[in-house]
Amino acid sequence: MSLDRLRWRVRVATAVTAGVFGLLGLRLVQLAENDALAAAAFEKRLAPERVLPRRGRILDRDGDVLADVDDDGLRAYPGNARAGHLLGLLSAARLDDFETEGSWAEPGDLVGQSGLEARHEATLRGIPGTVWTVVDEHGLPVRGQGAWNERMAGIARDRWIPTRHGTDVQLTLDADIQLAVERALHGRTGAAVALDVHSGAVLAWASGPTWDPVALAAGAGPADWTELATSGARLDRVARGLYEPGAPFRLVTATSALDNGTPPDHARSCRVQANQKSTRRRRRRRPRTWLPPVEHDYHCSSGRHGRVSVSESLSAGCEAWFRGTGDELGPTLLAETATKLGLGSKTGWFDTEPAGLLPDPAWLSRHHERQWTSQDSQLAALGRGTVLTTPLQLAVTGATIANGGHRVTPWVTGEAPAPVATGLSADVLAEVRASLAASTAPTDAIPLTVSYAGVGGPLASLDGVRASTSSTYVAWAPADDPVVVVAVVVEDGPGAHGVAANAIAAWSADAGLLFPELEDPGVLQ
Amino acid sequence: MTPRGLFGLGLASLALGASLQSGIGHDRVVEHVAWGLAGASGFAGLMTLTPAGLRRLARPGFLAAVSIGLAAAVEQAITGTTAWTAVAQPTALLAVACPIGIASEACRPSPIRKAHHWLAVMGAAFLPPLLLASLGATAMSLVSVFTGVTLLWLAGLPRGLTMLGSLLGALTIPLALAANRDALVLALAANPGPAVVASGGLTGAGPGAAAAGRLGLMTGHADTMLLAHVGEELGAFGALLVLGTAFLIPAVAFFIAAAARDRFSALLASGVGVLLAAQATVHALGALGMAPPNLVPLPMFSLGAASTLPTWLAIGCVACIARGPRPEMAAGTVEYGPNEAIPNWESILAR
Repeated sequence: MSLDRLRWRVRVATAVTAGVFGLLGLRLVQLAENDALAAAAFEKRLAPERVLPRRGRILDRDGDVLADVDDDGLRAYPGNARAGHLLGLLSAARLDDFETEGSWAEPGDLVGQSGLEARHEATLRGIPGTVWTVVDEHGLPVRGQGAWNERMAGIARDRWIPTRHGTDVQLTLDADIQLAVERALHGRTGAAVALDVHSGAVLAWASGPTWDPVALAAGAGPADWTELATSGARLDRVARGLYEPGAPFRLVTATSALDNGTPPDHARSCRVQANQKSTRRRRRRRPRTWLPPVEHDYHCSSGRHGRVSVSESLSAGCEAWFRGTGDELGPTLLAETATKLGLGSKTGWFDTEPAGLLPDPAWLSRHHERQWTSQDSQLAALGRGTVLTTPLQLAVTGATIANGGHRVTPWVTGEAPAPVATGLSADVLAEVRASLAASTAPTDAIPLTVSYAGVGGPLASLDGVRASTSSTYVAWAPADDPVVVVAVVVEDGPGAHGVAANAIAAWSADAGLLFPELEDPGVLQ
Repeated sequence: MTPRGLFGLGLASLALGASLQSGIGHDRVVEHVAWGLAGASGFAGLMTLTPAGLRRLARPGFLAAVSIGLAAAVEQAITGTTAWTAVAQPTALLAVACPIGIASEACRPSPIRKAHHWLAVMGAAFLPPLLLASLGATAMSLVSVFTGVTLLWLAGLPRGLTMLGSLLGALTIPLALAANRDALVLALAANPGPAVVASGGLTGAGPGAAAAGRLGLMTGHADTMLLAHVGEELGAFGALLVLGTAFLIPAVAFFIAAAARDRFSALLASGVGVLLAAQATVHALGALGMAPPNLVPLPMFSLGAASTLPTWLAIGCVACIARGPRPEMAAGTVEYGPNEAIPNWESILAR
């Protein structure tokens, strides 16, 4: 090849090289004007830092703080009232919490897992913010220079997301009444709830055994949950505990009788001789269950009272009137009245709340494989046997009777649900209230100056042999113009009356009606 | 451009490269400057030669470089490292040995059989890349292959031989890429160069203000993606200036080759130009995200003996050629003796 040809080829190589470098230059300019790539470069130098929001407080109806947040971001309970079951617990976020729509929870965050903490989690938790800082490859903050630093700082400012702290939640709960109920129920197994008779607002809510939320302020761990479950403290007995109502169910029986035409002065004999023939028939069909042998008298376990009316029966605690009434009404009418008064159905507090049990021959046949008998009707009228309710349902029943026939829905936050008209005669309910008021008198042990009307007591054993192991009580105050209703169940012995009295006393003190010279009457026994 | 101009351009590039390296907090600036001075010394030494003297040193120099490379490859194969031979910078010498060897062998005046001649030229073209590949410098071996194939074309080898050489060169590239395909794909996807260049915009963050090196964005790529650093600090305009300078050096070599008086000078100068241009192109491709990040330095700007020393030596050869024969030798004499007539393939084939 000649030198000229070589030179020509060199010129070609020069031109090709110039072309390649020209394309590289175009690529440079293209990259320099690519905002998306520039943003990607800054992405790697800006590290987000999450700023956790401050959890909202839980306040009582007067604005007193029930649950606060301390400097470490943990729950603090400044008052003495705890309301553990109502307020609930915080615990480490679980898989469900991460998958909930709108959740920003990360592993290790404390999330409400029960009670109002869980129900109002979205309101209480707030929304975390984000602060962007410039970091190096080790994640350590660095500071650039001059125009670059200003640019980075500007991007960080633009991306800053402010933290929105949690919103406080105010309850209808009264901390003073709550404290009184908790003190009275301390160490006992049972439940107590106080409602406003007209609106259904929850004034107190206590279940025992319970836990100290202060000890679990850092969040309940798996061992804590296990301990709560095995000790029985986890069960919220106010809305989930099913009990035989006992004496308070007599209000339902009395209402049903009066509403179905029984005159108020209709009297029955305590230990009236029943129809022998029908009794013999019942004898032949002896039930194959745990029920005691059928008695052929309308007897009364508290004594022989002679002829008694409804008010006398309530005041004397005579069972005969109610046994006879139960026999006459039958399970259907009893259940119908009980349903109107809020028993046998959910109050709407929990989705998994038990509805309870009302007299139902079909249920008895299905579960105990026997026919409904007169004895079943009698026991049902006394609130025993085939009747199971929760303390919350009992409180609703008491409120319905106390306010003249409007069934309330318990609520603790937000707006009060509108009461539902039951269709029961106001005169009938007034007669029941008057009968109960006449039967309730203050005692030396319960020196309340405000009048209240209540019914309840120990639940006698059905076999008549074993001692009573539980007690129930429902009362409203003041007796002539009810404002508050209290329902109490104590599983491990008597004392329900005392708990209710303490609740009423606390309400009275709060309302300025009791012992104005004393701030704290102490625990009434 | 005069040799002095070329020398000055080299020094300016050295200074700019040192300042850029210091801007990203590199603490090997002193080493960079020392190797640069060593290269400058070599440059000055080459300037004392005539083109004829350079031609006489070409073959021994090529053989010495190949020997060092071979020794390094053997040490690598036996011990897994090049602890003993690394001091001689085998990769750097092999990179510049390719054009020197091709120019030397393609212009041998001695009458030899054509088969031996072709083998010698092909060996000069492909032996350095093979040794570079065995030492793990895959990207530099591909640059060297490209340089060799281009020089084979420039040298005017018979078409078949050129095509064979091109085919061999073309096969080595996909083979080298296929061996590390997954890693290269990941590296290409994760290449931070485009984002760094884009963050500088047209005018850059300011000299010394770039934090990419300190922030670790370019961890592991501080030396090999210098163009991206320039793009961040000096913007697209600054990067274009650097790219232009990186193009200017091989362009000058091409112009010198086009003005050379003999084939050896033309081949050597053009070979150096192709080598430097290929290096700069592969470096820019990696820095601009069109290729995975690679270890090919930007000639005269990037840090390290592997870049600075052979680049200075190569430029020294070009400067020597540009200087031309001495005046006392030029008058009345032919540059090469009667036994050193300008060879051509036709005369070789005729023997």
